[in-house]
Amino acid sequence: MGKFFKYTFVVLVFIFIYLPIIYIIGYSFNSGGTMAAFDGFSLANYSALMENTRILEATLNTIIIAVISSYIAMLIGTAISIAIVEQKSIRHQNSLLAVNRIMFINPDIVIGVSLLLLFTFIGIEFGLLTVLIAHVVFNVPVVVITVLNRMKNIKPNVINAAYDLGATKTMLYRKVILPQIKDVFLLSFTLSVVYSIDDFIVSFFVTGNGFSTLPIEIYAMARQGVSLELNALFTIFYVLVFTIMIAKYLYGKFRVGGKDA
Amino acid sequence: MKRRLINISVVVYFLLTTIIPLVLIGYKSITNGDGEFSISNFTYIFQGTYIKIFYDTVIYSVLITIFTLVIGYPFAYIISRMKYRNEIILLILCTTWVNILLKIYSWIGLLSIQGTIAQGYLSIFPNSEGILYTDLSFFIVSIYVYLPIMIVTLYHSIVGIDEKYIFAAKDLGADERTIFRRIIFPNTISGVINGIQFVFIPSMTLFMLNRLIAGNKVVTLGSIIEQQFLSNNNYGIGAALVIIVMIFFALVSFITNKLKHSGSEIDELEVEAGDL
Repeated sequence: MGKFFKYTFVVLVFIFIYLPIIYIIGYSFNSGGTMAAFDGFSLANYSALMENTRILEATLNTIIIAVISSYIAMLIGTAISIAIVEQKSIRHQNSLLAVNRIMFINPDIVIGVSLLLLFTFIGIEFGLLTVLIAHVVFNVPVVVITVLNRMKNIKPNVINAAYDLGATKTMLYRKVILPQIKDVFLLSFTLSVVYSIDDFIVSFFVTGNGFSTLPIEIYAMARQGVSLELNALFTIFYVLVFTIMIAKYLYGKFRVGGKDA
Repeated sequence: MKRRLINISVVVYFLLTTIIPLVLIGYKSITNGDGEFSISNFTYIFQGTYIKIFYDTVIYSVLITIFTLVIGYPFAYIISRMKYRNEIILLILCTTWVNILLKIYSWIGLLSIQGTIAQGYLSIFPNSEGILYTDLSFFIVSIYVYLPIMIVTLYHSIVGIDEKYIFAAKDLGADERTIFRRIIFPNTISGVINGIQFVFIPSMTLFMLNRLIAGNKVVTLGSIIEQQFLSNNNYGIGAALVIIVMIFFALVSFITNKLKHSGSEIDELEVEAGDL
C-alpha cells in the first residue's frame, strides 16, 4: 500500500511536469494552425520559424550579446579577483566581496530597474549597447565568485617557489597562477553564456525599440496567444537541452566506469 | 603605483555598476517629478490599492512556496531512495534549463479555451469563463515553474547526507519513520531554506507570469513595478515599489539565514546526542 502510494505520487508529479512538454512538442507538428485539434503531421511550423526574420535576428542578437558580454565579464572578473586577492587588509577584501555579491543575489527586477535608471541618468540610447553592458554587469560577479573559489585551492608553496626563483607579481600571475586555473575560465564563460541566454527581465528593462533578444521576442509572441511557431521553437530548445544533458550524463558515466576498471 | 591604479579601477567599476544604480533607486523614490525632495511616492503607495497588492503578493508567494515544498519534499525523498535516482533527477533537471518564458507558454495552449484542461474544467464548471486568465491558472503555472527548482535543491540536500548515519541508525534498530524524523529531516533544513529562497523572492517579482497567464487578474509587486517603469513612465512610484521589494528581500534573507544558522546548530546537537 505504502509503495503503491509512493509510486503513484511520483508518476503524478512526472505527468504534471512532462504533460505540457509532450503536448507542446506534439502540436509543433500540427498542420492546422491551432492547438484545438490535430489535423495532420507537417513540418510547416518549423519552416515558418526558419523564415521568421524577427526570431532569427533575435537569436543572432542573443548569441552576440551572450558571447561578447561573457568574454568582457571574464576579463573584468579576473582582474577584480586578482585585485581582491591582493588586498592587504581583510576588511577591504570582505567589503569588495560584499559589493560583488550585490548584483549576484539581487532579484532580477532590482538589477533591471537600477540599470535602467543608470542609463537614463547617463543618457545612453537604449539598445544593443545598454543590453550588452547590463549583461556584463550581472555576469562579472559570477566570474569573480568562480575564479576566487578556484584560486583558494592553489598551494602556497607553489607561490613561494615562484618568488624564490625571482618571479615578479606580474610574472607570478601570468606564468604560474592563471595557467593553473585555466579550466575555471571555461567554466565561468559557460555559466555566463547560459545566464545571458536565459535572461529576460534585465534585458527587457534596458532594451530600446528595435533591439530584442530571443526571450524578449518569445514574450512578445506569447502575449498574442497560441502560435505554433513557438511550439517549434520550444521543441528545438528541449531537444538541445536533452541532447546536452544526456551527452554529459553518458560522458560522466563512461569516465566513472573507466576509472573503476 | 600599478597596484593603486588597479584598486582605483576596481572601485570605480563597482561604483558605476553597483553603487550608483542602487543609490539612483533611492534617489528617485524620495524625489518628485521636478527633482525636489518629497515623500509623496511613499505616502501614495501606502494607501488602499497598493496595500492590497503587497498583501496579495505575500499571500501568493507564501502559498506557492508552501505548495512546491509540500509536493517537492516527498518527491525528492522518494526518488532519492530509488535505484535509478540519478536518471530521474536528470529528467527533472533538464526542465530547469529551458527558458522560463517557453515553460510559461506551454500552459497557454493547455489552459486556453480550446485546450484539453480548459475543456475538462468547463465541463465541471459550465458557467465559468474558462481557466486561463484567472488566479487559479496563475497559481498552477507558478507551481509548474518553481517545482523543478525546489525538487533539485531538496534532492541535493537529501543525497548529501552521509550514509553512515543512516546505517548506524538502522543498526541501532530505528525504523524508516524514525530515520526520517531524526536524521534525514534535521539534516535537510538548510536545503529546505535554500529552496524557499529560490522560490519565494522570484515568485514576488516575475511579472511575465502575471502578464501571460493571469491577464490582469493577478497584480503582484513585480507586475506593478514593470507597469510603472515601462508603461506609465512613473519612475518615482516605481522606485518606491522597488525599495519595498528590496526590504522584503532583505527580510527574507535575514530570517532564512538566521534559520539556517540555528538549523546547523540543531544538526550538531543531534550528532552529539548520537555520539553519547
